[in-house]
Amino acid sequence: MYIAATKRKHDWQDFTLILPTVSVGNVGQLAADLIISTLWMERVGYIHHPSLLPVAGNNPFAHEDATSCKLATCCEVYESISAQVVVIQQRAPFIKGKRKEFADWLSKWVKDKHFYRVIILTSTFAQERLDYQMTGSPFRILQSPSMEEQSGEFFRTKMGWKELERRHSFPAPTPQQVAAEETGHQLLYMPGSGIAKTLYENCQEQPLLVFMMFVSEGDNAQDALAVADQLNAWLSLIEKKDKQSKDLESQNFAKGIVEWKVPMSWRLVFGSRFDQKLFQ
Amino acid sequence: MATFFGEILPVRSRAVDDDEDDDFRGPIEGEPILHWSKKVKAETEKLPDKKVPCSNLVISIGQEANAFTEVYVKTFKYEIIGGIFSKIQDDDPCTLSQTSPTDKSCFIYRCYSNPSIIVCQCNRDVSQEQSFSWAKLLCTNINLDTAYIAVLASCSTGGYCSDIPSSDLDTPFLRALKTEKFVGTPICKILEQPNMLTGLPAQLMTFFQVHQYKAVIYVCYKENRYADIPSVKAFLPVLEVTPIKDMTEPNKKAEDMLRDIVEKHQIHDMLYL
Repeated sequence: MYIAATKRKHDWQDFTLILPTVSVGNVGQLAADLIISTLWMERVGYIHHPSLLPVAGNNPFAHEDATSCKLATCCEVYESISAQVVVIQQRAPFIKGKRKEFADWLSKWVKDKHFYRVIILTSTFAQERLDYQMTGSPFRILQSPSMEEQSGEFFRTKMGWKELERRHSFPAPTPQQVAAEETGHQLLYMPGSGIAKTLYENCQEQPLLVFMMFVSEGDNAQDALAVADQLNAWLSLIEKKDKQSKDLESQNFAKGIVEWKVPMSWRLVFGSRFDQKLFQ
Repeated sequence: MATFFGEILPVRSRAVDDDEDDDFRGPIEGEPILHWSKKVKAETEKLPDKKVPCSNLVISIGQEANAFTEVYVKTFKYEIIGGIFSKIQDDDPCTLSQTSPTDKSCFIYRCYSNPSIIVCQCNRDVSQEQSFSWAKLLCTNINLDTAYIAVLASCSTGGYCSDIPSSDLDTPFLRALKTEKFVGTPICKILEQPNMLTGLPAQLMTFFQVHQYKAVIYVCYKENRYADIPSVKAFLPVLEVTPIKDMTEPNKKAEDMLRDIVEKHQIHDMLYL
């Protein structure tokens, strides 16, 4: 269920919802991290659901020198009034077998809130690409009919985003099938993308865009930057920094097309520092 | 996955395992059950919200925290008022009377002299999947609106990330987290990012945070699998702070009791046999 953290009433009809799903390399969530920390978004609520595994920690977006404690939970809702953006950040995977329950609940919640548009950020296994997907842009999109109407042309021409190619059969079509079927069975094949497909199918009446990237597991920070940059090129969430703001160019600002503020929680991705003497 | 240093680590994909589990029908784990004693049941029946009144709640999870609670926190006389029960494994050490400090049990105690002081000693493994219903049972059956809550738990240093190499860590050490409504300052450092709690302690803190209760958690990062004296004593600073400082008195027999409990735990340690 959704529990508000503040008493303020929210009217999100003009807002864009950015909804990353737990997927390969956690690219969507990492990109959401960048957006939340760069826009200094405010936590306005929690999603408290029995399908999610518990985690609790200190504020992932805290300033480096901060000594206070602001408890973060496994799924939280952030809002930026100036940018008119709401982000749902999920920090833990699902309990086995309860994924669908959550996806159905979330779809209903999203529909009830009547967002102006919904963007689902996800990723899918790079090794599952077909030959013709190997080269070119690693990004793919899926649109609901109303999104197609709203900005489909813009995505194709201005952004250069491609629709995810449908597949004929699982796992890959035989040459005969390809030859025989031109309008045949059109499967959405997006392994490793978590609940993105269920949400997409449940929210067809909403203006909804699924933005995905082909990635592999590893250090996915660069993939997240790429996704955030693409999104920013469309939504202009963050202005391009001009040269005056040199004081901001510390380690904590990652450079893509714009400068993203890397949150505190991205520290020590590879675990603790090691004892230097080991290698002497 | 190859790490920065070139080792190849076997990693399970963090993505949900493919397109799979929508139809998952695995063995369903039994839900935990909360059972009150007859006396308390009769008392709460008379109250409008049917919840046990509470001003101070201490929840101890795991061997170290339970040993600490047993020796240093429950210094006045306590009675058992209930318990939270779920399935125990075949290899869980348990005595018939279920009263040994090493038993896999979870009882809720109440102070005789001040019945609004409640201690919950959870010494059984509560899986991550069960933790939601476990925490819900506690929150819906005890009136925590005005209570001060302290959770004591322990965690292995194995998963602890810091700028200091793990060989240089001074174990055992304490870290704390608190909810927004808890205004006091914890007696030790706040758990540093990117470290996080998981399992039952995390679930309890999530409940306390979203329902706006006043709660603080102290986690002891320790090295040994079974309770030892330093890890239990790592909790000692907690005796000086809210809400525990108001409910204890110095225990003269502490050393003996502690040695006794630790010895009982060590019996199960087969590492050097």
